[in-house]
Amino acid sequence: MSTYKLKLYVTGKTPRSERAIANLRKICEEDLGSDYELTVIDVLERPNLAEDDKILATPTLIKVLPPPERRIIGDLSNRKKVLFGLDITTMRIIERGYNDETGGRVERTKGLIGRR
Amino acid sequence: MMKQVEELRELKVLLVEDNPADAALFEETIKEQSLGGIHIYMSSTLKEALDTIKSNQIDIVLLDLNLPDSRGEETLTKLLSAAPDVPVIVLTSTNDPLMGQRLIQAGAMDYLVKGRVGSFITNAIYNTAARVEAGKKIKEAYENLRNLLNDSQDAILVVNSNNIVEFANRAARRLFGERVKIGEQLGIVSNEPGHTQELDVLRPDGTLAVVELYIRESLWYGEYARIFTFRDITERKKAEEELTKTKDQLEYLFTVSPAVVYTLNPKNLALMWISPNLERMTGYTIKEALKWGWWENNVHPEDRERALERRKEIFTKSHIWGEYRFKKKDGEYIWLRDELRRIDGSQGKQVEIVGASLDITREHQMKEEQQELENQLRQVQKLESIGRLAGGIAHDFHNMLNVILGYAEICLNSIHPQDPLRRNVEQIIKAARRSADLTRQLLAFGRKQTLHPKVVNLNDVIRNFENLLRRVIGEHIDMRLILADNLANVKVDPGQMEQVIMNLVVNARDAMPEGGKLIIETANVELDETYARSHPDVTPGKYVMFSVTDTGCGMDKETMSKIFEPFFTTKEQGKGTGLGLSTVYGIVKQSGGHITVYSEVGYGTTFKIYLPQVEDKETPQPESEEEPSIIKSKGEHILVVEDEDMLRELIEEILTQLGYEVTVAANGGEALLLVEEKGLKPDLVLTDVVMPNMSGKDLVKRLKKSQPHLKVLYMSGYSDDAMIQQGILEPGTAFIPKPFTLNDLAKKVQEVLRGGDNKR
Repeated sequence: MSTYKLKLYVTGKTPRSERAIANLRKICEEDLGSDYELTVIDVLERPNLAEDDKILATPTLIKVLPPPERRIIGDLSNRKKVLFGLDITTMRIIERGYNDETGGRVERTKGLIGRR
Repeated sequence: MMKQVEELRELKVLLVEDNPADAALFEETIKEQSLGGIHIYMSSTLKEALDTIKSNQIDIVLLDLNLPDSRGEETLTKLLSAAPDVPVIVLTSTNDPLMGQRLIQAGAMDYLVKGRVGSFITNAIYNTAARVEAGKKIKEAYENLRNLLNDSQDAILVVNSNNIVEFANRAARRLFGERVKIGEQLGIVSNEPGHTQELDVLRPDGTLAVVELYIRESLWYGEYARIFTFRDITERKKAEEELTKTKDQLEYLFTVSPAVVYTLNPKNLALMWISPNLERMTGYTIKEALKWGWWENNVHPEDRERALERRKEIFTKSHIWGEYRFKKKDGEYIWLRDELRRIDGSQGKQVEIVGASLDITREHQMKEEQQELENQLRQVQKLESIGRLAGGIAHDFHNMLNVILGYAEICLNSIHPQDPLRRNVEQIIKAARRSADLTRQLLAFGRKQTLHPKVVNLNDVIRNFENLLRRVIGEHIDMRLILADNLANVKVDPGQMEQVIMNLVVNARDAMPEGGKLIIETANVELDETYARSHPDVTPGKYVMFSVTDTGCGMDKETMSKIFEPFFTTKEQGKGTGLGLSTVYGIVKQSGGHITVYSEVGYGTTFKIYLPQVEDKETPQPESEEEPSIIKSKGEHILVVEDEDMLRELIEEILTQLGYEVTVAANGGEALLLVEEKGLKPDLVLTDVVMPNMSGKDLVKRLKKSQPHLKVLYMSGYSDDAMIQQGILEPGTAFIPKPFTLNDLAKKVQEVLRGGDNKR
């Protein structure tokens, strides 16, 4: 059982869909190692799943596990924002040497999440 | 403030109080303090109060909680549930802060503790009225805001802190349909506020939209909220994609297109932009091309001024074109066809000049080749027609000259040797013979000669002829033979070929009065389709090439175009007939060959003759096999009688070379003197038939008297048939027609010397 369970909703083969898939694969490989399970869902093929997940726009990435559920939309080109947005392993990022500048960002992200 | 006071005057306040004393006190206080600006209604029960509220549009209610029909906090709840919109100020007798809080939570605007009311009551009424008014204004403002948001083309969603949708404008409902409902949860989005990237949205009708999302954190009715604005950029995106596609297509076109496209500054015609296929065409990069003066510097100097002037015409014309040579980066010149178009913007503004350059080097070459071809064709046709004309005339002329000669000879024979008329007739004969010589050359040019083609090897012909050629050209000219090994055979008339070689060599000699080099070369060559295409008189195939090159004065193009024409000569009057090269041309053409001339003034001239090769199996005919027997002459003695100095010398030369002992005589008298007085005993006499004073026939008659076994060979410019028919010679007489080749002569001499007895 993987630690991370992710779902990525896309719409067909639009440039945004393709960019998002490529970006996410890269992030997963670099930051999550093999410890993830990713499902890419095309809303055109699986409209019911999209409805159940109340998908308004794509690309939408959902972190299903570990809880709490987090969503981020866009082509996922900003790796840092994706990781912060999904509340994934801020520790990992700090380890990677982003501590100085991103220290504040981590706080901000936590603050934002805390408000929910 | 004044306005508020005025409005407050109209305030309708309902006092709900069952204690008459309290009621009177409150009323009096309010009236006094409000200067009559507040109209007071009175009720003593809840029921009565509700009726009054209903019928009198009460603005504010002052409510005592303990009434005959209701007691405690319940009274407030009951009243508000029946009349929810009316603002209520509660009057209580207990000073309990907790209860006060509860009352406010339950919906009271304010509460006052009885006994402490005093002057506060009117203030409380005014405050509440002001708050109600402000609340209305806020509501109105939000109403306006909602209307504005509804009018927006962007889809806007307002989501509260629990992710419940508080508001969705019309555009949002259109974009998301049933997926967004007021009061329901929206999929949580944890993106930070600000711009996000482009997103895809599936519209309710199944079409796809591309949107741009902006998230803003804000307050909505005083509460934290996030506002999502989706801007539909589908059309823009489509246009962008179209543009990119068009750009890609253009880029592709520029890379495959043969034309280089560019724009020029409409003021100074400086290059502003140029398509990338420039590099393929010229080798220059775009960066190099954009440097000042690049174009001007690379236009061929001879074309520069014209091309520049042409370009400037774009100031006055809307479309111009020009052709010029342009230097590529590797230094090679190409021909460019340039087209410029001026595009005048609307209202005369923003003039643009666009241009296209096409490499037309190939077309130019083809045009030049075509022109060259046409020239050659004209040349061939001209020679052809002159040849036909000359040949036609010469043929008749030749026949008539034969008649003149024949009768002149007959005349001569019947005139007494001492008759002074003889000289006149002899002059006639001489002139007629010279004319016959000329007409024969014309016949050769006109290809009307009878050829006797044999399979020969040109190398052999040249080698046999070499010594004679050396004599002819003299010692001041260095003659070299470069003869190809394994030279293929050709089928030509060897005598005529000797004449061709002789004519070319004599011409070469005359071109080098100060001396020089003369090179005779042979080679096997193949003239292919390409060559044939550019030389209209050539059939592709295998040829034997034979060339004569001199290092003489050369000739210009004008001269070169005329050299094969009969009677065209560059030699001094009387030195050339102008028929030498015409004869060569005629013989070569009649032999199925092809002739070219290349000359450079001051450097020299090369004539190349191409004769079709014949199959290997056709071996050269006996000629060269007989050679040994000819060369191995037994040193016989030959007396040559010929009045033409040149010819006499030539014959002497030939026979001497062949190993004969030769004695020459210029006429019959001289010959008789040698034989009868000096005791010369020749084995053979070779005599011209027609000579002044004494004909060959008469001479032989005289000689035979003293030497009956003398062998005789006649020679003449006339065919033996003509001679015999006119009775000048008897049938069976040994005869050689002039002009003869070296081999002809050698063969004939041998023939007469060996089997001469039965040929009398």
